[in-house]
Amino acid sequence: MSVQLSQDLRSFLEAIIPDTMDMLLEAYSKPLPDSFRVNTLKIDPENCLKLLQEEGLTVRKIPFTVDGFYAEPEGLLTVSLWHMLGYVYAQGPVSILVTELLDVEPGHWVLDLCAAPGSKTTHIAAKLCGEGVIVANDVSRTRIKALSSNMQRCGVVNGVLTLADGRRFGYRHREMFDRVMIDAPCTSLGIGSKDWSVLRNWTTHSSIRLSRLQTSLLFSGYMALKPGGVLIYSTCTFHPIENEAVVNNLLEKFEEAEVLPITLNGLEYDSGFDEWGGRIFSPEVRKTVRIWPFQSGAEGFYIAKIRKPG
Amino acid sequence: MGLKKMEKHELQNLSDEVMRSFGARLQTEGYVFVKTGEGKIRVLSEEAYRAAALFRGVMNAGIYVAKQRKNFVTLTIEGCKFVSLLPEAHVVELTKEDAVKWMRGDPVKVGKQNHKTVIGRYRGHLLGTALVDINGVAYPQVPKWRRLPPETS
Repeated sequence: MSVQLSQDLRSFLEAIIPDTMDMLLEAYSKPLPDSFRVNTLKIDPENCLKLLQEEGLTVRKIPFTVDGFYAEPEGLLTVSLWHMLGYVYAQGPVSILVTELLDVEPGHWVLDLCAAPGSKTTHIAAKLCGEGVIVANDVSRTRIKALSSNMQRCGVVNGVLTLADGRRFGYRHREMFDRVMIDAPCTSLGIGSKDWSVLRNWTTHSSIRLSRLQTSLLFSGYMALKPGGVLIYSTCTFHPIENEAVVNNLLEKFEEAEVLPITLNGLEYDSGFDEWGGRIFSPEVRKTVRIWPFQSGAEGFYIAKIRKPG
Repeated sequence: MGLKKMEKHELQNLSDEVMRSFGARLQTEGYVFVKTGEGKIRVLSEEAYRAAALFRGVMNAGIYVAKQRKNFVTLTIEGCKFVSLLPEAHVVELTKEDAVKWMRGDPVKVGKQNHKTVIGRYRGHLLGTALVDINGVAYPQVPKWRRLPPETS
């Protein structure tokens, strides 16, 4: 069976990556690699890796992350004793990278605005080393159960879990956080290899509809940020209307917001577009990055790093 | 959700129960213990406790560490991190095979014990607590969401 794309998606990909579309389709046809990070709230990496190797896992560092590892053979990691004890957290390589880019330090107050199922929340908690606070918010009562379980398994003692509409959260809690993570709901084209139905059903309209929500979330996250604070806006999808256009909306509304350059350790990426579909974006948007699955060998992501001056 | 900080005497009761149930000393310093209903107890950092009061829609905070029952207490896997084991602690050493069974939530033969409650340990790693019947079979208190799948060896 081969990957099937909706007509809208085929047209979009032919327009955005005419020369590398075949590489994307090939990446979609392969499963994502098993990858993880060690939960340093519970065990140090050296001891953990030894335990995993004793279980028959071959572990290899993900070169473009600080905390990430690949695990082989596939499927063994998440059914190991050590996973259930919370020593490891199975997470995509680029997802691990996204949290690292937030530059969390012990003592920070951090907001994860769309936190479920908790991959980034628990990674942030590990970076905090028990000092400071991670507020993990999600709007879905169902998804919050998984978030709660993962925070429990990882032993996050400085976490506060809230059920609230992320679009309003920042307006109610202005300038409270040193760091904000907004891993926004999106059309998920970057993880299409997990679920091909996403690729069959994607429409331009679905991206347009989500773009409004994403803009509201980004505004809210920016409001929650302290002066001098930094936020990451990320999606695991590719359409500029869910990405560059959202960041551009922020720059239009909050003129003082700064887009920070992103340094990636040896990972290939594309810079953000400065125009799409006849819409011209701020040149600052060029500093954002788009990572395609054929560049990472894993998920595709869009990442913007934004600072509130002060 | 209101997080009600445990009073000093409540915390003392809990410490006494942990000592009676497991021969272990509860470490409370630097953390806030809160009751959340059904006898469940959570632990969080002092800063997180203060922060939780600032937000609307708080569902929970910190981690679930213990459940107080009628005559004894059970500890979660994370709860075991908050006790220091005395030499007479009620700990059963598990083999790899038994540790896997334990984490599947299956009964584990541990031999007759002098106590109804034990902490499971595999190579120094604490796996939470179990209730032991008169035949020396331990019933691990591992929540369903956290159990190893049955086919795992």
